[in-house]
Amino acid sequence: MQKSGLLALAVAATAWVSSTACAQPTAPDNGLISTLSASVPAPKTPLEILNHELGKRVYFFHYLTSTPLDAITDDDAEPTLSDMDIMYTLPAGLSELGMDSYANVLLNDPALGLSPGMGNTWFMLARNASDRNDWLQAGRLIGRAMANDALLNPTDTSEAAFIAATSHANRDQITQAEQAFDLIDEESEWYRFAGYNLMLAKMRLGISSKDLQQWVGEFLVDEAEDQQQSALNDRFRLTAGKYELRNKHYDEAISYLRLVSKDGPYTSDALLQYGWALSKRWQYDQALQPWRVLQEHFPLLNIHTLESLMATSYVAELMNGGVPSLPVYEYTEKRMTEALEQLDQLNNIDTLSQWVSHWEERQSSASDNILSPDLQGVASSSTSRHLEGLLSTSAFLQEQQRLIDIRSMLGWVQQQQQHLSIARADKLANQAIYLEVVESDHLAQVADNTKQLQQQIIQINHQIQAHRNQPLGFAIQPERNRLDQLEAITNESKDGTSMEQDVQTQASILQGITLWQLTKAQPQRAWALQKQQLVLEQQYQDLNTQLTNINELLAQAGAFHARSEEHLATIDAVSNKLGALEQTLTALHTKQQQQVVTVAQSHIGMLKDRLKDYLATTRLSIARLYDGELRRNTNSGGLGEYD
Amino acid sequence: MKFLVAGMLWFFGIFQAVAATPEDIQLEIDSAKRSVVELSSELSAIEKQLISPISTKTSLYLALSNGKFFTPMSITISGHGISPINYLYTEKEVQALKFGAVQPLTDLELAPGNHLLKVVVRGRDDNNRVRDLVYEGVFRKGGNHLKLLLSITDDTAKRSAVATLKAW
Repeated sequence: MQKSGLLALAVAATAWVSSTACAQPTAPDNGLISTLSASVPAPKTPLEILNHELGKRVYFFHYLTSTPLDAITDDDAEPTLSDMDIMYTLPAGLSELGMDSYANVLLNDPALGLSPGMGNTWFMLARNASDRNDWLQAGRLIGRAMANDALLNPTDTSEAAFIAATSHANRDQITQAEQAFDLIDEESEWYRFAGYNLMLAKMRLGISSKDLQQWVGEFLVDEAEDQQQSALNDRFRLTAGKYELRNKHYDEAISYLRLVSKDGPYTSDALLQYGWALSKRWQYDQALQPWRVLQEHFPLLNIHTLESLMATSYVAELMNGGVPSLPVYEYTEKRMTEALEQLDQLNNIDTLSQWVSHWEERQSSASDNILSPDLQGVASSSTSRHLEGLLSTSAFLQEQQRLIDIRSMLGWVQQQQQHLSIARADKLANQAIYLEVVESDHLAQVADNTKQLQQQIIQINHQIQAHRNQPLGFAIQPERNRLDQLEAITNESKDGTSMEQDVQTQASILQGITLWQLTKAQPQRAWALQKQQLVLEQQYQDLNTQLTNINELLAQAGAFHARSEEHLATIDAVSNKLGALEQTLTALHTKQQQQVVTVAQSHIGMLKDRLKDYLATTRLSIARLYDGELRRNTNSGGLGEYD
Repeated sequence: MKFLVAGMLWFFGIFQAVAATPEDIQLEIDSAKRSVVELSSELSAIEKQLISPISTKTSLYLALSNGKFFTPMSITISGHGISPINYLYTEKEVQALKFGAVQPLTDLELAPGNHLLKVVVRGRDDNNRVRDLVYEGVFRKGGNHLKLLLSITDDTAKRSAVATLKAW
């Protein structure tokens, strides 16, 4: 069945490729899935039908328990993959394994792409696209998921509407975004996320301060229940504050920014912007406070800390005039030079490679999905702290996911090589045991014992028959001797004394009693012997069955082990494939590690460029101040020359 | 061996290879993923068919019919010549079973003949009380791969559930 399946698939694939070579549009009945389904023979015999049904139910067990790799590769489920019921779920399974390109090939087939009831599959693909920040693709896919006939799972409706709203919002299609937004349950977590994304679109289109305040107010949670809610509050306020700051609505900006929490992921940015907003309101002293907090409590390489250094000296000059602000500028220059040195130290391939190795292993081992493990975040370290701004960028997350995928697959391959090696050893051990059993005379001994048992049973049977055929059957020898004695006494001379006659009478009575006792005991003794015979017969039957079973097992094992060479060759071939895949993945892993390092270096480069700009501005300011002072002193005849 | 998966992925893979550039690392990762799926399928077949004769295999499956009067939490399988097996159920697995899926519980290596099997399923009844559902019985293993289905079915009249074993 499976071999013919492969052949059919290969033929079908070739046929399909040839038929599509002319780039003709595919008719629904001429598509990939239809060809595939037609190529695999349908189950015909009752047993095949039963096994097919079992395979489908096993497939759905794995599929519904989010183990799609098991679903696709399970021995029972695998022959049912071409079944249309299964085919409908395959794209979702492949998508869950991070194999979106394969899922898309399936979904582009008319047999599936135009089928109703595929909402969950489209949804899963849309979700993957949104995870990759590909909102255009996500919007296209979610449209299919939310179609009336797609029958999307009701529990996913809110998330689907969020994806649709965000996709439209990203393209500034406010009306469509709001229509999708209206479908989101207000109690759902997606409601606030979508509200934020819509706010961004409204900002791009120039929302007024009043409308913005109203919009933000809709989504702020007064008493946040967890860090996530609190972080989203902060994000709303920070973004709104920055928007108002950019539009020179400083009072509004201050009102948003001062409420951002002091221990969240957006604190550093908020402190920087808050300081700027205050400085724009000429509240210079107050403006220095948040920047001081930033410089004291956040890493120097934090982009907001660096900007705050420059901002501090700028405000110091506004506050104190030229020369008195020089120490602040010089302090800023010193700190920025330190930051530049730190960046140079960080921008080292070995350091960054060690940093990547440090967190990747922990991540790949923390998931059951070996093909697409969930990202767990980067392990805490000084390098991670310095690169904090990099960690949430989509470029880094994409490369990180790829690296984790490769690392996870590499781990799987190494594990399977070990398993295969053990399996091979087990097989050889099984074969050795089989040969040992076959070559030993143990089974022959058991067969002899069985025969002896059979002889015993026959013997007992003869005994029973003999006892039954003779008078006083089942009597034992002492009883017979006693009876003979009694009979002898009874038959002695009849002319004896009266005493002798009494003895003869007693002997006669005793003879009668003994005969009566023997007759009475006869059935019981017969049954005891027969029972013994039945027990032996049962034992014989058990032994014989066991012997037959063992012989049957040996015959099966014999046939199986006769193909050992072939089996071992198959195992070795798979082992070689694993070896080749390990090599490929090792090379890919090294390449991807370098890619992650390159992304980190690019981030460091960006930081350096920014820092160099800040440093140049600072140095120019210092030069300007010295120059101004020099000119002033020159004009005043050298008096009051700055030292 | 397991050819359907290999054939199918090869079949689907043809088209994406045309679509992407060879330098694209994502393409290489996708290709590696495809290899993992194919190898996983082949390894599964090796484990089931090449290490010991398929004729000695007995596969045990579990199905839950309706599940109104009994929701499984764990299962213990034991018997003469059977290494005890314990398994804890997740909510997702119970849900899948209630939808009609069949769980492949375990594969046993058994010689032909009669074998005693004892299964204890611990779960909750419709009143949320913990109770044990026990099946104990003898099954006969012949010379073919035996598939046994342990079914937990609702007995509406008794407002309870029963466990039965039958060959698939």
